Formats: sequence, structure tokens, C-alpha cells
Amino acid sequence: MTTGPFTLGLLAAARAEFTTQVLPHLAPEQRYVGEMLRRSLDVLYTEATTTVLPEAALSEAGFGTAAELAAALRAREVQDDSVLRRALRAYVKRKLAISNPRVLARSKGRV
Amino acid sequence: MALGGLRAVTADETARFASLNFWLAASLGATRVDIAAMSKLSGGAIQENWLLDVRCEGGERSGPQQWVLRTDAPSSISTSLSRAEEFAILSVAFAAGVAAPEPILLCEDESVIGGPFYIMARGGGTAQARHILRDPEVVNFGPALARELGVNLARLHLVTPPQEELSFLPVPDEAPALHRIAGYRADLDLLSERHPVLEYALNWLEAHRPESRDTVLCHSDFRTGNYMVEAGRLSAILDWEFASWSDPDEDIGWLTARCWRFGADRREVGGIAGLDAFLAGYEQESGRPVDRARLPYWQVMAEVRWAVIALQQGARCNSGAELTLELALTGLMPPEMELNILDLIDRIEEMAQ
Repeated sequence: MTTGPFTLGLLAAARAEFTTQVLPHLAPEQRYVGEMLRRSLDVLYTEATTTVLPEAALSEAGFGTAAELAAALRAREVQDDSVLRRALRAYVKRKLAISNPRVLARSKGRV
Repeated sequence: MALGGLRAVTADETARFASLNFWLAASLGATRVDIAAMSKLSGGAIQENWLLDVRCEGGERSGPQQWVLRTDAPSSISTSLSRAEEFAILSVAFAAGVAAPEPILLCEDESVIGGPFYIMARGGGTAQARHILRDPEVVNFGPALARELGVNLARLHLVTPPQEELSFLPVPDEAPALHRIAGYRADLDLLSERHPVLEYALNWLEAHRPESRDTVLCHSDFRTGNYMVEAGRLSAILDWEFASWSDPDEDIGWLTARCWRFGADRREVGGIAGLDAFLAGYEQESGRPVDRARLPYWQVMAEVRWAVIALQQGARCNSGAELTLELALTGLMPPEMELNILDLIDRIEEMAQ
């Protein structure tokens, strides 16, 4: 996906206006779709502005991309050890920070 | 199937269902069947579910009736079970004493409404997880409901192969866990992106597979959202389209996986209650104890399965085949399941030490 010089501003503005000007005024039967739209805009904005790329977490285990690691795992070429698990966990947390930061925050106190 | 909103019949649909009452009358031996009301349940791109209020004069089911008609959506893609196969599974489950909707009629004549369909009794209450879990009384009715779920799942699991009416259901010739692992790997191979956490989980599942229990009839989507609750009691178990022969702990793992607790993480049984009440009902009805130590393995399997399904739904939206926000957002869910998987595996291995 390529972005133009005003994409981030447009996304930020769309998100802000939708949340403050549209969402509070939706009819009850439209609220569910409204919340999904708000969430979608949140994810798009976070994805467009993040500098902490999820795949970079895999470098600790010696892999540059998710595809490389997945192929190596399928071929049973990777040892299941604490280094791998740490890298996978960091990778997942970075993905969650984009897709659902609320779940990530809740998971910190998890039993 | 999400039991969401209802909407009335459109003009096109009135034409589509014009012959239905005549077919119902002939099938039930009634002199007359009037369809007083008909409305479509929202949700379900592959099947359609219609609520019918009918009045029968004479025949097997004389009087007012409340039914559900289930048929293929006009733009249906092939699914794992046909409506006739689903009807057979419903019939077997109902006969086994499971709280499945009573199956009433099956129609394979596509000239009646344009596709095969079946009629089943309608359960009361709601299947919407949000409504059930946010009911302030769930703390009080949850344990008894969990026990009912255990009893009913145990009754289903007493059905073992071979069953002549279910000859269309393949009996895996390898351990159910291995069968599932191979299937999920094949599913991942059809996606455009690769998923290392799921590959890791599948390797772990393969290496740590417990000994199989007997192969039994499993619902294979037994979770909150697929059973109806009325006044705190179980009224019907729905959505039998994924039923299969498998390890019974697979059903229990699916029901109790964190991904299906809707945020009520401490209530392991679908977000409604802890495990004790469910297992008490299950063990009493089945006559055999459940090894709790096996359940986390099947919960890992459940998280993997739901992650794969979520990825498939996201891919479906991305391809343009079905552009909905719901599918697109579902496609973003797998990291939640992946975190659950890593936490579970860590916990299982800590407990094993």
C-alpha cells in the first residue's frame, strides 16, 4: 500500500470527525456498525503510523520475515527454545498493539 | 448463524415461497396450512434461517406452530454438510436426547422454494452471547446452565460410529488430533500470508498429542453463541453444520477455550461459569470421568482452529467475495488467539515440570 503526503492527516481527521460528529448521533440499530467503523479507522491509523514493525521482533530468533520463520517451522528446522518463544511472543504483542491494543493491555494482568 | 435482527419478506421472496404452504400441508397430511408470519434471521451468508408462524388444520401437527426453515442462501458456496446431512445429524442428536431443535420435515425437491430445506421446531430465548453474558443474573444461572450443557454434550458423545444415518460423515483413519493438524496446515497453505505462530502451535500439538479417547459424534462448534437460553435455562443447541466424528475432548476444548469466553476470562465454560458444574453434568451423564489435564491441549487446538477460520474470513473479504466490516475485522483477530496459544503452552509446560 502506498500513501500520499496527506494520507495520515486524512486518516486522523476522518477518525476524529467520525468519532465526535457521527458516532454519538447514530440510531441505536446503527451503533454496532458505527463501532466497527470506528475500530476500523483506529486500526488503519495505527497501522499507518506505527514505527514498531511486528516482523522486526523475529530477528531475535534469527529470521527477517514471518514467511521465512513459518517455512522453517514447517520444515522442522527451528528449535523450540526460549529464544524462539520470546521472539514469537514479542511478534504477537506488536501485532496486537496495532489490531487490538485493548486486548493487549488486558493481557498484562492475565492469569 | 448469528441470531440477530429480523426482517419481513420482500416481494421476490413472497414469490419464492409461494408453494411452501401447499407442500407443508401435503407433507403433514393437513387439510390446510397458513403461514401467518415469516421473517428472516440476519447473519449467515451460506445458510438462510427463516422464522415461520404457521397454523395447521388437521394432520400430524394440527394447530399453531412455531418453526424455523433452514435452506441454502441463493449465492451459496459449497459447505461441509448439505441440508439433508444436517437434518440427519439433527435427527440423531434429537433421538439421543440432546436438546437439539426437533427436526420436523426435510425437503430435497428444489422446485418448492428453489433449494433443499428443512423445518425444525423453534427454541425460545436468545443465542446472542452478548445478551447471555451481560445478563446480571448470569452469576446465578450460569452454573446450572453449564451443568445442562455438560449433560447434553455427554448425550451427544454417547453416539459412536458406525451410524447408518450418518454414513456421509467420514470416520478419520488416524487419530482425530492428527487429522485436525493436517487439515489446518492445508488451510494455512491456501492463504496468501504465512503465520509462524500457528505453524509453531501445530508443531507443538503434533509433538504433545495425548492418547486418543474413543471417536464420538462431536458438535464441533459447541460454544456460547450456538445454544439458546431462555430464563436462564438451555432451550436448544443450534448450528449442527460442522458436526463430525472426533475426540470428545475437542468439543470440551472448544467450549472452554479463552477465545470463546467473550472477555469473561475467569468463567471457563463459554464465559458463563467455571468448569466444575459443566464437568459434573458431563461425567454424571456419560458415566466416565474427564481428564482435566487433557483439556488445555484441546484448548490450544481450539485457538488454532479459530485463528485459521478468522484468517479465512479475512481473506474472503480481502478477495472482494464478501465485503463486510465484520469479516474484515474478524481477519484481524488471530493475534489474540496467538497470544492465548503461547500463554497456554507456557502454562501446560510449567504444570508438566
